[in-house]
Parts: sequence; structure tokens; C-alpha cells
Amino acid sequence: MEIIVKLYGDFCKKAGTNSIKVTIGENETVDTLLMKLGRRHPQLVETILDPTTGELREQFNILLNGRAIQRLRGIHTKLKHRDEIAISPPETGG
Amino acid sequence: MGQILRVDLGRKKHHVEPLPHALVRNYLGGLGFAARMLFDEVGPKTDPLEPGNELIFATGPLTGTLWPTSGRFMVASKSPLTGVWGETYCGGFFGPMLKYAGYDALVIQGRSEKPVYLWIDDDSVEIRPAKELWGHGTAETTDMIREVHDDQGIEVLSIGRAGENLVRFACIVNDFMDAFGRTGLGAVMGSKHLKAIAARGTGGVRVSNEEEFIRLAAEGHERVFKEARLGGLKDYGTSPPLIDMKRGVGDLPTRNHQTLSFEEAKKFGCHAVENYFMKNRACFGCPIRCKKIHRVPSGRGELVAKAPEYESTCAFGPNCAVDDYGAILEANMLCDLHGMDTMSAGVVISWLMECYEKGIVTKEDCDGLDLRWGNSGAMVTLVKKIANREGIGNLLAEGVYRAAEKLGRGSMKYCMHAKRMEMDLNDGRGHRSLGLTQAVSPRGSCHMRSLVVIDQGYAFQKIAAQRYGEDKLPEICDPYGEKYKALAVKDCEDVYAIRDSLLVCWYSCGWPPVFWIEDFAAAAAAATGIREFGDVREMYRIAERICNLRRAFNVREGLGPKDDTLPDRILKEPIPDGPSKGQVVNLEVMLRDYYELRKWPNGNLTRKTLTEVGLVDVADELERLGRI
Repeated sequence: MEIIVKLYGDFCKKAGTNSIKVTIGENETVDTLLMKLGRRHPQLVETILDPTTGELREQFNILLNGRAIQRLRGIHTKLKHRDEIAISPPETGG
Repeated sequence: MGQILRVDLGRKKHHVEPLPHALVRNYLGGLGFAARMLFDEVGPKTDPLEPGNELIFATGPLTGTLWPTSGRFMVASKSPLTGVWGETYCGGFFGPMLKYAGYDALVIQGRSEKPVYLWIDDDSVEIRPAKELWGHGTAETTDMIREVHDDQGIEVLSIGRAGENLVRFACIVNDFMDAFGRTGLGAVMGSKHLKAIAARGTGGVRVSNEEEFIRLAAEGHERVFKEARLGGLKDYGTSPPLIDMKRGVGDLPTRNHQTLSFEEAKKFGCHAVENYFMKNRACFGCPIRCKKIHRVPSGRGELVAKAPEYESTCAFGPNCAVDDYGAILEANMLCDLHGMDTMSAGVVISWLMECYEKGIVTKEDCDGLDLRWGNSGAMVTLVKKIANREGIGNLLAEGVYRAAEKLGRGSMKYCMHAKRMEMDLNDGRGHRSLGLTQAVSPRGSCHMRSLVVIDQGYAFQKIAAQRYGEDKLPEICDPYGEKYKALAVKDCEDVYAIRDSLLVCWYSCGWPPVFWIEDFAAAAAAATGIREFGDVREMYRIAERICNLRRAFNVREGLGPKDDTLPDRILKEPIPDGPSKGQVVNLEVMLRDYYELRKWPNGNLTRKTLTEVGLVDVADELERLGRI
């Protein structure tokens, strides 16, 4: 199935684009998506995941169809065909 | 010991007085000084544009020192936009220069009959004629003053046409493009016929415990360099990363807050603006250097100008449905040149665009302008008209609240303000604590007085747990819930009162904080030699005193709990689309918690609370006037 990954802020620079299509298997989760993404853009995924624990680092926003994955099942959240994942760096302010 | 410079423009006199120790001990500096002095010296019967109003410029104990981001300073006055407490902050280099000239604060009183500018050259202070400067923009004024004194290193604060024309949201501009943006204090300067203030200081700042202070400052610079979040600011400035983040989480006010999603904003996100980057700028003592100069091709030729801050980008961009970055840059530049707040200007224009959409005003009412959403040319034209109070611009120059009052025809429904100040470009429906922050801010709608970011996105759970306790998770980080938000807002309001008294930049203590109150306490003690400042509990006591005093100023002006509110749109109209779809703000719940934490029963100040924070005389005054 196909997942659309949208990148914001500094991540665009790291990946050289602001939108990537990634193909993963049925019932796969966010961590599988990130692993696959890491093969093409290792710099990007190293920033997001802690290399020792494989868990999501603090301070990043990853939204699945507009909902934060931290409020779902984190990186173990299941994905569906044509889901949209948005990744943005730790920006704050107004 | 420091000094206060007092200038009476009416009597054409000035004098210098020592900074009272009690003022330093009880109010720290900057905001604290101004809060105490304005309460004591500008009473409730004074109209903001009359000679009796004062402008109190204040620096803090860290201004002009080696502490990172210590280039900021502030000014307070009664605001012509809101009629109540007005405070506004600016970066650049003027604050350190004022301090190097020997002054911790500068108080401007009275009104000159003719246009003048103030020239501070260390001990020498002169009120000089400004006939030749009047009518010029802020950049020309700065150049002309530097030329007269044959010194390009002079720092200049100037008003433009907007301040001269008493536009109620006129600002004061330092060094071409740093601004005391909000609350209209450029109009107060205009009302005093004070075109500019120029300063040259050749002294320095001596801290009390030099060795300890240098150690803390060096460590501070290291921490700023290591903070990952500041990377985006260094590379792109404040606007593009925030535009990207807020677009991602559905928190981008669009078409006068009709929604929070504006897909076209990607045209001014990080990816897009890389092509426009020309050079960096920085304020005094700042390793972050978040200011950028952009070069943008536009229909009207190539434009080279300061890149707007997030608030300005959103005010002229998504909130007016404008996707032309060149037009946003131009509107922002014109505001700097005319001396006008970009945020209020953008919001009052978006209000008129909504009135046009709803048929409340016609093309004829608007000087023939087609004010359909996204018409960038009309937006830029309106900026000029406002500064010159020309045609429909004369109505908009009154600020959105007064403009809606004058226009009538049901336009107040679309008036986005709190306490009569145009809303900042944030929305509690997509970032819940912001609703409370805007409603209780003493200067009217403002995100900076107590901006909480742990519920901005979902990324700060660990740090929220450290500061407020595991038991507050996940609710305290939920952008769409009211629970525990008052706790975080009250805490940030206190810490930021210290930030604004010391005085340092928000970007050194936003979340995740590079510096928080413990760091401020240590720096304040080392800088001043006042041992008690090193105690965090004492810092919180001072912060609470300042927050109560600002509230007391407004209570004396007749404000009360009824004014701690937000537009109906924020409270009742669910967001129609995007990640924040369906959200409204339940303000009452957050207000109840906030008042309880502040010890203001139902939002009312009491003698008991004022006494506890060391403001017995303020309680006496409010009681005498029947306000408590």
C-alpha cells in the first residue's frame, strides 16, 4: 500500500523534497514506514528516532491524517493505503 | 547604582535621578520598573494621547551585558489602542546603547508644541527641533539623524507617518526594522510631537560578581548553540519553520480566523524561502541571529527587505488569504517605514475583507478597492492608506474595535480582538492554552505574555512531566483540552514577567527552554549583587507582584473579569476543516482555574492578595476609588 509522507521545516532540506510516496505492506505500522524511509533518507530518520532504543525522540510532531501518533499508538500505529503522515521539527512559538 | 533620565517636553527640561534601591529590590528592572512607575504616575483620568500620559522606556539588569539575547528593552504607556496598560518590546541595539549612556530608564513626559527629537549623548541631553524630520519615514529619519551628528553608530528610535497621524496601532522603529510593535505607542510619541530619540553611549555595564556572571554567560552561550530547536531559527528565521509546523498541526489563522488551514502557506515555508535568502541580521549579543533579509521577485520588480516574523507573515498571508510572498514582504516593509504594527494592520485589513465578503461594505465604501480574499494589491494599498489616514484607511487607523463600532452594520461580529487589541495570529481552537493566554493578557490579545507551547503539537510530554508532574499527562499536552492549561499559563506568565524585567528574548526561554527561572535567578543575583534574587521563590514573588500590578492598573481603568474574554468566533464557531476540525474554546473552565491560582475570586483583585504580594498601597488606592 502507498503512504504519503509530507515533510515540514528543516526536514525538507534533509530530504531534498517536501513530499515522498512510500510503499509498504498491508497492516504495517509507522516504525516500518520510518525504517523504509531511512533507507532512502538516513539523515532524516536518524533525527527522528533514537538509535539506541528505536523509539521516537522527544519534540517531533508526527501526524497521521492530522492526528498526532503520540495520541494513537506511537510508532506502532497501523497504517492504511493512502494515509498521510506529516513530520515537522520541534518548532514552537507564535 | 543606575539612573533614570526624565525628560519633560512641555517644559523643555530634563533631569537625572538615581534609581531607587526599593524599585530594584521589589521590581527587578524593565517591565517591573515600568509597571510600578506607570501605576504611580499615570492615573485613570489621563487620556493616552494627552500630555499627561508618559512613555517609560526601561532596560533590565541583563541588558547590554554578555548574557545571550540581552539586546532587548521595553516601553510602557497607557495605550491609545486599548485605553489601558500598554507594554511593548524591541530587539536591536538601542537598549544597550541607552544603558551605555548611563540610563536604566528614560521617562518622557508632557508634549512639545513643535516637532522635536531627543538627543542623548552620554551625559549631554538635548531636545532639538525636528521640523525637517517630520513627514519622513523611519528609515529616512534614522539616516538624517546619523548624518546630522556625523556618526553611523548612533542608535535611533523613530516614528513614521503612522505615529504622526496618530494611527492607534502606530509603532516605534529602531534601526530601520526592529519595532516596538504592539499597543500603539508610536501614536503616543506622535501626540507628544516627539519624532525620534537618538542615543550614543560610550560607557559600559559593570556587573556585581564579574567572575560568576562571566561563567554563567559563557555556559549560557554554549546552551544556546546546542539547542536543536534554535537550528530552524538560525537557518530560516522565526517565520518559515513556524508556518510549516502550524500548517502541519492545523493552527494557522486563515481568512480572519474562519479556519486554521491554508495549504498555500507552503509558498512561505522553509523549502520555498531558501531561494529568497540574502543575508542574516542579529540583535545585540544574540548567537541565534533569527533575522533574515530576503530578495523576492514580484510583479512590481525585485524587492529586497526584512523577512517578516511569523506573526506578520500570517497577518498579511493566510489571514488575508494572500499567497503572494512578495506582497507580504512589501506590506511588512511599508509597516516598518511608516511605523505601524504589522499584526494589527493585517488583522484590521482581514476584518474589512470579511466585511466585504459578507456584503457589509461595498467597493464604493472601500475607495473602489476590490477586497476579495487574497487580493494582495488591495492589501498593500490599504497599508499605505492606513498610515496616511486616507479614505477607508482613516477608519482602519482606529483599530479593529473602534472601526467596527463606527461602521456598525453588524461588523462587530467579525471583529477579532481581546480588550480592543487585534488578535495575535494564534487561535485557541488549535492550541488550547493560547485561548486563556489571549483572554487574560493585560495588554489585550497577546501570545507573548504567557505563551505555553507544551500543548502546541504533541512533542513536549517529557519536559511537561518534569515541570508539572507525570500526573498531568497527557491532558496538559493536549492541544484540544482545557485541563491543567491554567497551571501552565500562570507559570509561564510569571516566568515571562521575570524574562521581561531582566530583559532577554523569548527565544532563549521558549519551550523547550534554554533558560528558565532558575537560570534567570542566578544571572540576576550575579549581575546585581542582590543575593535574594538568587532564590527562585523570591523571583516568583516578584513576578506575582508585577502581574498583580498590571492587573491593578487595568482595574483602576475600569476593566474587570468581563473583559477577560475572546471573540464569539473562537468560543462558538467550530473549525470547519483540517486537523483542528470541530474545535471551540471552553474558556470558562480555564478562567476558573486561572483565577483560583492567581487568588482572584471570580477574577476580582482583593486586598488580601495584593497585600500578600507586597502591594498594600495599590490596594489602598483601588479601595479609595471603589474598584475593590
